[in-house]
Amino acid sequence: MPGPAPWHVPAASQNSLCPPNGEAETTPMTTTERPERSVPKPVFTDAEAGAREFPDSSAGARRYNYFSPAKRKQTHYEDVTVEVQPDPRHYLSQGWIYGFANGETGYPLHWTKLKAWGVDEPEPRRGPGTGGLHVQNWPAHGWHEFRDPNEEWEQTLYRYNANVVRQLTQNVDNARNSKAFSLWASNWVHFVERHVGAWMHIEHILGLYVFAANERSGPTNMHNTAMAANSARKIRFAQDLALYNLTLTEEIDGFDGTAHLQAWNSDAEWQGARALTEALTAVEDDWGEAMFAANVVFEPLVGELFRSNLVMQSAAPNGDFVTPTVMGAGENDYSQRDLRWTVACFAPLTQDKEFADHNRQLMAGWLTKWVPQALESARTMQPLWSAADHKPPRFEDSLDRAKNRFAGICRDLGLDSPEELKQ
Amino acid sequence: MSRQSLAKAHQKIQELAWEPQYHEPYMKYKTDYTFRKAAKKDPLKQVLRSYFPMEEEKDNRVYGAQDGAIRGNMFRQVQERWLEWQKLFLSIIPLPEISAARSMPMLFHVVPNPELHNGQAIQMIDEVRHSTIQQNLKRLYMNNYIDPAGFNNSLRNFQSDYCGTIGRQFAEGFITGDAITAASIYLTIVAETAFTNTLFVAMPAEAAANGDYLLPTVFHSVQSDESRHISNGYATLLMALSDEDNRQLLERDLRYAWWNNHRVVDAAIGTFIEYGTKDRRKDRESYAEMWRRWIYDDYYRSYLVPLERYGLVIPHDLVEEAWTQIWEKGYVHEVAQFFATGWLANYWRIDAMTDEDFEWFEYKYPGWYDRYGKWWENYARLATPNGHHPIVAEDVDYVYPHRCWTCMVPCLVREDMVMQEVDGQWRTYCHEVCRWTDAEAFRPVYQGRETPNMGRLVGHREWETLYHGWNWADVVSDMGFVRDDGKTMTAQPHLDLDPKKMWTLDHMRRMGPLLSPNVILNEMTDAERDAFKADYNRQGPAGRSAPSDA
Amino acid sequence: MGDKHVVRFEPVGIEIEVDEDQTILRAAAEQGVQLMHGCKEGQCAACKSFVLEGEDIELDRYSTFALPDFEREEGQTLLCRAHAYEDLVIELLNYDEEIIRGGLPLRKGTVEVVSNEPVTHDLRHLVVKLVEPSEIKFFPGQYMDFVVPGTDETRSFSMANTPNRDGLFEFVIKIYPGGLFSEYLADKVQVGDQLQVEAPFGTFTLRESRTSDLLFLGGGAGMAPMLGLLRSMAERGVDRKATFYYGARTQQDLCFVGELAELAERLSDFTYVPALSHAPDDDGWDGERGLITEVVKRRESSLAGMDAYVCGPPPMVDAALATLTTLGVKENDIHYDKFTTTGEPEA
Repeated sequence: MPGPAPWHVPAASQNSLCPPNGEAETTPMTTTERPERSVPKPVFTDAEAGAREFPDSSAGARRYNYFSPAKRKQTHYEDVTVEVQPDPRHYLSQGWIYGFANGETGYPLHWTKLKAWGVDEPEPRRGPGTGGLHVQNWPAHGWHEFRDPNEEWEQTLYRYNANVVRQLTQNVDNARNSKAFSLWASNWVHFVERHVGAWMHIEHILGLYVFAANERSGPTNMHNTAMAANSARKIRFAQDLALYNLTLTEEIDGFDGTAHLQAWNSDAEWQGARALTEALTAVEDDWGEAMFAANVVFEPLVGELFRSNLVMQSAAPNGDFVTPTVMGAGENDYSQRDLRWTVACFAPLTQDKEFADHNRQLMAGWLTKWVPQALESARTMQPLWSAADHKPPRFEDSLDRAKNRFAGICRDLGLDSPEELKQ
Repeated sequence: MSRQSLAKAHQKIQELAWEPQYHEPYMKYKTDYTFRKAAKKDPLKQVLRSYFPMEEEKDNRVYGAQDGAIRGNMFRQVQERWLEWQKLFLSIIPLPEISAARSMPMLFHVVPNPELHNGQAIQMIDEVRHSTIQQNLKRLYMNNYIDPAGFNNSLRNFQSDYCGTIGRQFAEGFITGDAITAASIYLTIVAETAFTNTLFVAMPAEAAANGDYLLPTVFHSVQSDESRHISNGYATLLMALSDEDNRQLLERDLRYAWWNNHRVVDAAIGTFIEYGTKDRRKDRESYAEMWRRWIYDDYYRSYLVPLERYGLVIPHDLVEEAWTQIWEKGYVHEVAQFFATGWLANYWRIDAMTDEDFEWFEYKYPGWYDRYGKWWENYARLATPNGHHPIVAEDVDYVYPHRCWTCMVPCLVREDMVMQEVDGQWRTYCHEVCRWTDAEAFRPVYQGRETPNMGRLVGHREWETLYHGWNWADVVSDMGFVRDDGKTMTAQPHLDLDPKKMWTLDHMRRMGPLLSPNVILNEMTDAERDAFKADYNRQGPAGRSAPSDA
Repeated sequence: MGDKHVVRFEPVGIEIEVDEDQTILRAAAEQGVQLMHGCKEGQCAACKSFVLEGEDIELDRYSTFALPDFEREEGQTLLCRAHAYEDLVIELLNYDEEIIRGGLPLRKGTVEVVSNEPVTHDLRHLVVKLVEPSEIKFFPGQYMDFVVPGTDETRSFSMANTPNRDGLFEFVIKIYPGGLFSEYLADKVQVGDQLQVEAPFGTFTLRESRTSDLLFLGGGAGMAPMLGLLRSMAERGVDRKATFYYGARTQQDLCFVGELAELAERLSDFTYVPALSHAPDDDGWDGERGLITEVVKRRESSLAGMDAYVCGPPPMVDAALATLTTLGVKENDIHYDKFTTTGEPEA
């Protein structure tokens, strides 16, 4: 048993923290003899940069010197991101110190079948007297060359998403104040409650169970941070749609806030997209395939097809100027952010100095596997194109646009568009 | 958003909960725990619509404070004694943060409760925030503090240094092995709720007392995100408790996590707070006092004990034992003394203790001077190079300790050291609980029960092994702890930046080779090993050799 | 010591007294109300809550990251730093109901028998008053352990009343031959006798955060906790729709008939459905007949979304669980305390 706490604060110092309604002293005292407050004393130390000269005091020593920047000058994003997740092929001389039951440790490079140059080189074998065997020629493999062009870290991530949230809130508030929802055609109200509503589920599942779920698996901090940021946008967009749905329930008489659940759970039009979305969560043990299938295949062929080529095109003729701003935020997430990092991540792999062929073949296989599923779920959605009074462009025209967009992404990645696209 | 609409909004987003219809998600991470599907409510209502602007606003205030600190020339009054330890702390902590982010998807995979996954996803984003905000604080120190060495090569240092490796338990332990053991019990129930939440509260106050008001700003902003994490931990724990089959595993994991956190966090934060400060007011709380209040009273008595009635087996004995280690066996003092002994293998400067420090220690820890005073006087005497070796190679009645295979802090409370041959290798452990952790808990069978998903302790856990037989100058330059003139060491056992008073590789070259205690232990005969252990257990306190009379 | 003020927590409906010198979190902990918290230093925001009524609050030093000014102006506060200077109503934002209620401190004490009146041929209405300590807190529906005089054995009985300042506890206990406590209650007990007790136990309490309709299903001495819950609802003006099915053998087994009728007046939407399983055909009973679970099945087509509370003899509880789940009550929403004894078989 430990004894009672063996310290005693001298009574005189106990009043260093006054209760909120601190009372007058109970012991008579002259005003000049107030006990000294117990506070740390600042001291002039002159511990400022440049105060003295000594080895490492120069301005050149004031930069993180343990990684090679992508360009001549290291960026703020690189400073706060690169090397935070260590690698035994670099400085991690004692190796990973915890293992899974099957003996795997850390962030195994085979958690995707993609390969970046250098990954087949053996890890340094360390043991008694070998020294640290730090890898001198850095980077030791191609994965470390990836930089997220969105430069996602704390400040950029919150600024971007907070801006989106503010814009949306304002747009919806303005619409509410100007009674803009009363202009909607009644069929359009049903379209929004069912089908715009159903889309929130796709964003939510992708955000949590594809992007966040793979955020443990990437080979570097840059990859995993990009997946986390992508996940954050998806989850936000899903919630944007849900809360928009809630607003409409309150603003529009007869707007059924639960219709999206029926649509999602039982409308035939949605079951193809749902099956595909769920299939994306079931990709086995390959973060690369999951990201590729979601952002390279699903998004242009199903996501943009629905968001841009159907909802955004149909809203205005049906008297709705608000839904496009909500959908547009998510569309912007994908086209300006999600796709950018994805291309920056995958395109170099098809030109990899060691594994270009391997990666191209692998990705071609993924296209063969996922493109038909995406086209099938797109076609399953076709009846939605005639659900509103004022019809959008023909489904086939919309799909062609989506296919063209997809073919463009394939070109950016250095891949041939797959045969299946002709279906 | 008004509160009422927030509650409604939170209710609404529950409609997003997903029940798979066509494909079950791939379950990459595994656990030996079992969960029933349960409608445990997410206790904390958080909607991203309010989350992002809130965090952005906090960020703006953090960066505003950073500008203010520079404009106000804060570094003219920062205590170097304090900021040097930040070279260690801030090299470690960004990895635990991103690891916490990585651990959240492991929980999605094993905890069947969609409502909790939202909270876990937000925690993931929080942790990314914390890691980058800390990297950024370190960058600011590097740019504005007098001595950037140790900050500028921070992550390289961290990844190759033994202190960094000790700290890495506090990261890899979150993300590897049984998903619940790692991400729930070790991370959220013990590390976040007990140790970081309480002791990281102490660090900012100490930083401010040492002239640094940026660390309080950054860490308070980090700390204010913890509410979500505490709720996440609680909700998962309650779900785990509802299945009786989990109780044996919960007991195992709570023992491991509690003890490991005590060994690692008390070693590090205890040293920063007791030996990294210049604030020696007698009414400043000592680490032991803080520990008693925050860990013992607040965490143990008011958080853990009430869970006993839900069937949680609380490691009462280990809570008391940790207190005994801190209060009676001088755990923090032994660790600080070891850090200072091994200053040359690190990447920050360690100030000697002065008479004012001695007086404070004696006041707070009666008997301190008799144990540690002489040694610290020797440390001050040997601080600047003057024809002698660094203190580790001088005769100051200090026996270089063996390393604990489990927690990787050396076996400093000598009487507690135990040995065992495990996986074909003789290993020393700082305490019976650390032996149990390696030899019994992290195994595929625990007390006769199959635990096929439990993790393993792997790696080159004794760093000296890698440099067995090396000259110290080569060790230091191989690790990269050298300044830009190519010879002056990053680390110094004093704070004087006069180049003539600084140690260089040339001084190191004159010392004998570094030998690995573990390699030597395994070369011994059984009889030699027994004798070694008997002698070791009679050493101390303060690393003194065993008395020769018995 | 400063003045004391009453702080009420919503939506759980718990009240505590807080001294001005204490933080609200501290006072709650001392009174066994376990609120979610972390650092207790005003930094982690885990205890952040919303002040619904009252405004005279002083905060000890805290981090403005945990509580920015604009949130404070909105009415948020940090319970670990807040001192109340008037009565307050506070909405908890972050809590687990089970834990809040699990938190009341277990206390041993001594009670004195105030009365022991028969309410049917085999049910006694036992009232005791606390001698020491000065208070044992409990939530309506929880139970107390009694040491059977002259033995080391304990028996558990649910409180039929609500917490009160007089330290009174009421029970409904079935007398049957051979029962340890029953025999004591039947033959030996005198007003003024002292008994050793320990309380509170059990989680048979209303989940306050819910608004769904309520179904109570009881038999025999299972009347006790039901009365506790219903009385508490009436006192606090809880307006959830409630139906109470009570099973008995014959008319002479029915009790508290007057009070239940009165509760029906006070509660906004309450129905009491007694049912007799062994009533002779000619006794003039015009209410429900048959096993209580059969009656429920007959009268209800779906109970989806409802919260159910079940207390009675074990065979009745088992039958009730099956019936209720069949009728659509979620397993998690059926509350029964396996320790809540009905006074039936003690062996």
